[in-house]
Amino acid sequence: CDQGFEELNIDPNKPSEVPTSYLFTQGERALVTQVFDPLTVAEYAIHYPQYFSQTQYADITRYSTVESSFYPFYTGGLADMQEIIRLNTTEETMDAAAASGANVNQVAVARILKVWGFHNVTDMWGDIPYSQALLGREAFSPVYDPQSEIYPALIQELTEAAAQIDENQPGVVGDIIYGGDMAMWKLFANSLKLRLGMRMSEVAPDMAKTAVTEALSAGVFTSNDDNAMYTYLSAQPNVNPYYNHFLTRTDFAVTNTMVDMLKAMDDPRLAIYADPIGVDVPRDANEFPVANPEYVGMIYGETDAVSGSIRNQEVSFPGLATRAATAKSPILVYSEVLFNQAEAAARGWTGGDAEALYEAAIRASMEQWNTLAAEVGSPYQVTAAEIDAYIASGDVAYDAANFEKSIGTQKWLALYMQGFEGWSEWRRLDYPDLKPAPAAPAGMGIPRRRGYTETENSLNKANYDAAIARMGGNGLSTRMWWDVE
Amino acid sequence: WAQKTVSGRVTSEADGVALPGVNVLVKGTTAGTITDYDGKYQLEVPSSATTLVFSFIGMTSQEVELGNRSVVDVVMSEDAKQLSEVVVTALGIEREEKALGYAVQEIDGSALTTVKETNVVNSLAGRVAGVQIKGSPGNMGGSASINIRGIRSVSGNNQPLFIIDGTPISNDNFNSDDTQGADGGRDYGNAAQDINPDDIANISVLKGPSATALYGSRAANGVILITTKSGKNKKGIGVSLNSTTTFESVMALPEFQNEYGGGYKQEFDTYNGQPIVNYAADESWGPRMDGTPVRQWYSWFEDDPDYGQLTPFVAHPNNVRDFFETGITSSNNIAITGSTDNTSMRLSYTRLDQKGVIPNSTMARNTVAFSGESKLTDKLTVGVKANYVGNSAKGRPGTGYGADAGNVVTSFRQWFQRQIDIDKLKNYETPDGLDRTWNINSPNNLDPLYWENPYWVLNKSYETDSRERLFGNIYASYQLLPSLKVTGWARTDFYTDRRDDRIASGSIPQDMYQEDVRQVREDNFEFLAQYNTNFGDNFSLGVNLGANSRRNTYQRNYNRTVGGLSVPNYFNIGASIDRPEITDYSEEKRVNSLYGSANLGFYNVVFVEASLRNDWSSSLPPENNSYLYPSASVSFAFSELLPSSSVFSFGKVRAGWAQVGTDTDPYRVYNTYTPSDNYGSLPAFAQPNTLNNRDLKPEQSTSYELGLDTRFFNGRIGLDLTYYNNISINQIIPLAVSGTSGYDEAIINAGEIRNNGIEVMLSGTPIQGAFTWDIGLNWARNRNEIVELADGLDNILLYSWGVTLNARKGEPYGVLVGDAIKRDAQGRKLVDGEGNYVRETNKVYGSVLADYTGGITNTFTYKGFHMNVLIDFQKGGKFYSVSNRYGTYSGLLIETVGNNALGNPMRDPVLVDEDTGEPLPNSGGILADGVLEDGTPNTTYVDAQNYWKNLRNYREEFTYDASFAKLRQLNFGYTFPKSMYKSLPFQSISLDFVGRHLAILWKKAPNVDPETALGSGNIQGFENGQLPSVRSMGFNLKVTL
Repeated sequence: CDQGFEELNIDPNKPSEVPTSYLFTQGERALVTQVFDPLTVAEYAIHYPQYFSQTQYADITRYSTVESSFYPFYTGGLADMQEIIRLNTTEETMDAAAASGANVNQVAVARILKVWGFHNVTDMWGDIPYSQALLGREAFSPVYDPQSEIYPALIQELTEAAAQIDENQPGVVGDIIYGGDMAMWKLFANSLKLRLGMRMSEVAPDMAKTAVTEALSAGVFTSNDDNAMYTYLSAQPNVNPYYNHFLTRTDFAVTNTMVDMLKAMDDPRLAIYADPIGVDVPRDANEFPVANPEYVGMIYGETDAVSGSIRNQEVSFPGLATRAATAKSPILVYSEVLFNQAEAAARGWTGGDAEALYEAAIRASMEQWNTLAAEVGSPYQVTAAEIDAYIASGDVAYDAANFEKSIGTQKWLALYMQGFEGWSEWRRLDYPDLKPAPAAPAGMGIPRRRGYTETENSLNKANYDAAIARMGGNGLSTRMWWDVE
Repeated sequence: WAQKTVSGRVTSEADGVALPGVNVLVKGTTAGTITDYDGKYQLEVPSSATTLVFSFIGMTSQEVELGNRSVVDVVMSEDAKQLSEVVVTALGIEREEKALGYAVQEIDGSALTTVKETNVVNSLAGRVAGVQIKGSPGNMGGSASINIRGIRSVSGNNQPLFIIDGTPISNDNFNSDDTQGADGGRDYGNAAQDINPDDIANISVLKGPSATALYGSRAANGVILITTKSGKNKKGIGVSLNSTTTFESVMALPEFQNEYGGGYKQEFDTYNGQPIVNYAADESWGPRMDGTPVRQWYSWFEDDPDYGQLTPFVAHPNNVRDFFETGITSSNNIAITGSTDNTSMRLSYTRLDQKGVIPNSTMARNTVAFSGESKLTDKLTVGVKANYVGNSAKGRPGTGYGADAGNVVTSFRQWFQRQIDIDKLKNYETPDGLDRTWNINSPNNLDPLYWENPYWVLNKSYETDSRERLFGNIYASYQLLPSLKVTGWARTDFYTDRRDDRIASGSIPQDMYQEDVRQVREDNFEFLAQYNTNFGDNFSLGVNLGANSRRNTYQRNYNRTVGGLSVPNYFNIGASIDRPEITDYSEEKRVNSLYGSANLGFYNVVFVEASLRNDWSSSLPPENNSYLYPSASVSFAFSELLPSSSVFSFGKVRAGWAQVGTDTDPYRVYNTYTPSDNYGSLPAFAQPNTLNNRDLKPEQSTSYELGLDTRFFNGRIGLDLTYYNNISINQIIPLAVSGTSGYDEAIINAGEIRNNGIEVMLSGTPIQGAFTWDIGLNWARNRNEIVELADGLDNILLYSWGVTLNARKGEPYGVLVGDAIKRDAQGRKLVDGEGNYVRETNKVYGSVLADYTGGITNTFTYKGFHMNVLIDFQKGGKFYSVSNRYGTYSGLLIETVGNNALGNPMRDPVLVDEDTGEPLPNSGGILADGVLEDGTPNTTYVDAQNYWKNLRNYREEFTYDASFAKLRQLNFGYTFPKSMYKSLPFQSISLDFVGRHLAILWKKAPNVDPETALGSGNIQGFENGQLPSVRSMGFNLKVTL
């Protein structure tokens, strides 16, 4: 009575086997979505460090909600990477998987991308499921690992993964970021290790120093050509997420914090970062150049009564280089590597020249934005003379006595559009001197994390409760392990 | 031992037709036979025999003296006392109600044809104990959800099986989770709305597994067994006409405030020296509507008569009501019946037209039903039942919050400016073809910001849909022996459901076009052998053996343009600028079954029945795909043993026990990868978010029920009580798991849900005579408890939209959980030093399930006049209202105006004595009702706008008790006596005033109708941008020729 039933129950709509390259493509895109698409938690990451301000309904910038879900990271790109590792390490599937690149190389890249994903998750929420995460039926309720244990584990993963890469064997297929160039992935692993090492500078300086110096000696980015950029395509659904946003809405303008600082320092990136005022739908603001353009930042974190009276054409929206359909998202760039090297030198961990590295970092940032602008057809370019003048100006000059301020300020400016990094580095260095939203609840400072989703209270209660107890609350003011007061 | 042959024919007194299957017994012996299809019998009787006994279900038994006759014809009459009604039970077998060990409740088709629902499921509301109907009474063609005896499955289907003339028909509802959770999409309704009330002869509701075990897995939630009309029992040709026209108008609109208009502050901004409205604000915290001349939105449009003018800023209290139109529903049916000795037929055509209360919404339905049966030989009968249904609709309203779906009501209830004049919006398009809306960006940018002109949305971004359906069966039946009949059926139900949707160019969301086509089909091949005999006078035996093979297929093709349309308003998938989004899905499932049942009767007093069924389902792993389940029941008509009494007319106790196994959806066993959009030319596939399960087992429900059926005073008072208990285990659950496991959900076998309850049916005839009053009351309470979930798990998340809907261990199904105002030990609300409430998270508000439900029907007749009144009610159950949450957030609702405790308008500024910190006597603002942590009363006034905006973070404040009592149906009419039209060819004429959903007699929730279902799935309890409920009144005319 059940003849043929087993075959009948195999889903004809979805394949049971796919090349691992398809998972790479999907997984990279899914992780990038979580870090850069304002429809995800990336919206908080870009607003909290005061890059963007909401034009109306300023609820994020007034810190009025607490919880966000980290599930999309796990069930999205992280799960894809985990599956790539499984397919490349399980005897029955290894050979088939090798069609998408050498098993070791696939495993290495998947591990590196997992680290990138996990560090963004932990930097936003603090203690998170890590050691028992992504295990499916083996652990439906994973424990939350303390961030103090996650960071060393991530660094360990990067060290092992970089060592695992075999440049003589085929690189990974389906890789949007580096097109399977394994030498680049090695540099990326080391540069990411440099970032994670530096993140621990305040809380665990010894561990930080070890990681930073190891990374530098293993080899990091040496030019903007090495940058890890995510390339969007001109056709839906692979366009830049801000392009999509501004097709139908106008929620995000550049902050007065940002615009005022750029103007005060005469920063030539202003014309690239922001549009002039006078247009109220940014997608229409592509008529270049505007004679005597004026730039005004949107006030940050005010009540609806105040921000609601400001019209769109009175404020500056993000520039074309950040919101064109093909405007790239920077995952990890050369200027950040140089800022980290400058800081390592300033801390005496390396023998480098902190000031020279700092200036090189600013220069690298300008050049990077020049490239981004040119790629999307924006005529604004920072000239070499403008860069030199900028670096020479008093506001920008490196202050060895307060390298946190110099590096913190310039890094924050350079990390525009990299909400996660900009926010984390501000939390670590406490520069630039950002002021909390004027209309925030009384006594509330700039958020230092996002709260866990309430869903975890339903699905993973014991571990969720333990993590909150250990961290000292699920609120926005709870500090990261590495965010020392 | 001499014998003689006696023969004869048995006919019915009522209509003279032959009665097949009548038991003919020689009194005092076991010798007997059964009449054939012509009602004829032939019997060898001993010469000593003196009397023959004729008995038949529903007829009064007769003893006939034989005398010397060799031909004995008998006319049997229906059992006058109606104490032993015949009901339709599983497999369409008619049984004496007395013989049943379980509850079955019937509804006569005539109850559905005077006051007509466009979705027939709604007609069951309030009529059957333990059957709860939930709908959304404002939604043209919307869903009606039906639950019988509670929720049995954590995440599977909890709707009963619909069976029409033995053919299971699809009641699928393709509304997404988001639509059910009121987060957008359109409500296309459940497919059982294709059943045409005019064709229904009778509905039999089989409530528990004892009654439905023979139907197998899918009937675990009960069965709605519908018998359609046929031409049988009616000699000659008959024609009937039934025409209804009703008019619909909106009711239960929110109470809006009419003091303050659009904006965020009470002063006007100026532009070029003129006061302007804050057009970008979709809220009403603005200036007082005191007539101040201002530049209103339309004054910036050159084509407006008030272009460039200042016009008074005044209230339009009925602006929302004025938006809705009067709906019209008309339904016309003509049916022709006819029969000869060997053949009978009925052909019926029904046309339904509806114009909704929302502008530009219409619906139409054509139904053709044909029923025919013919006796080809003495033993062979063949027949056909066929129904064609063609639905089409245009402009079904969007539901829920999502602006993309075009729910204009979300704006009216949640994001609006109170001063808006609806008349000014009727011109929705500029001469250049642009959207002309109140919510412009600014004076020099007239593009819509958040809200388009509602007329633009409805007239330009509408949907169209159609469903073409055929269902029915053909059958052949052969009388092998007088007591043994075999029948074979081929049954089918298939339809194509097509939905096209569009967003016009120039709208806020990107223009798009989509097509969504589904083909659904179910075929059943069924064989049944029925054997019935009597042993002597006092024992009866019935045996049924059956086999069924079922095949379900489902195909879906969905295409949606991506990146906009290449030519404005060119609605075609080919217009997609980027590669269109495509879903190409197909599904197939097979279930084979063998089953049998036997019933035994003793002395017409005790009846015992047992059944056994085995299913094989393709949706389960090969090791676990075969499952067997039994049922048994007993009925004891104890009154037969008592002396006959004028007070106590009938009494019966019944008990039933049953087990039912249930399979699941296909493709939940083996893991696959999920396709995603290509990245350029690179294909992309994702690790699935659902983890399938190689070791699935069938679900199992075990239930028992006990009942007592009593009648008094010759049936003038009847009381029927039922208690039932149902335990469902091994549920197949897509368990929501922590996403940190890498999966959102995992398919598992787990859990135990218990439902137990009481059903009471009370019927009476308080007044009998020329004026007669019949009253029927039903009441049911179901207690549901999640006894056990998976190992180590005490909560399953069912849905989330700010508030979560959960199945939680130890609680009833469907508890709403969310944030709330924190309370102290005495239950007082806590307020912080700033005057704001203190927040508490993860508070359990309560279950969406009702405490009890019921209905009261009253029927009055006097001479030719009749009146029917149906009131139904629900007590308890929670729902969360996003409309009230944002309606107060944005200052639209009446709650946001008025005076504070100091007697000043709450919207006035808060004024505080700088020295003492106390509020000044003329201070505005709101004093939150609560105490500080130390127990002292709160004295800090907060700004009204901040208060209401802040209050949205305490969602419990917008969660309500869903209790209601409604005047659901009423008809009042007159049947014209034949004497008035003797010369005309009519046999009967009646005219009724009819009304549906006439009034909400009682409810607890403000501003919304507590009936909020937007689907027939398990997601309930969310109200968001609810379409206003609709009251319907009109006339019904019935004529027979």
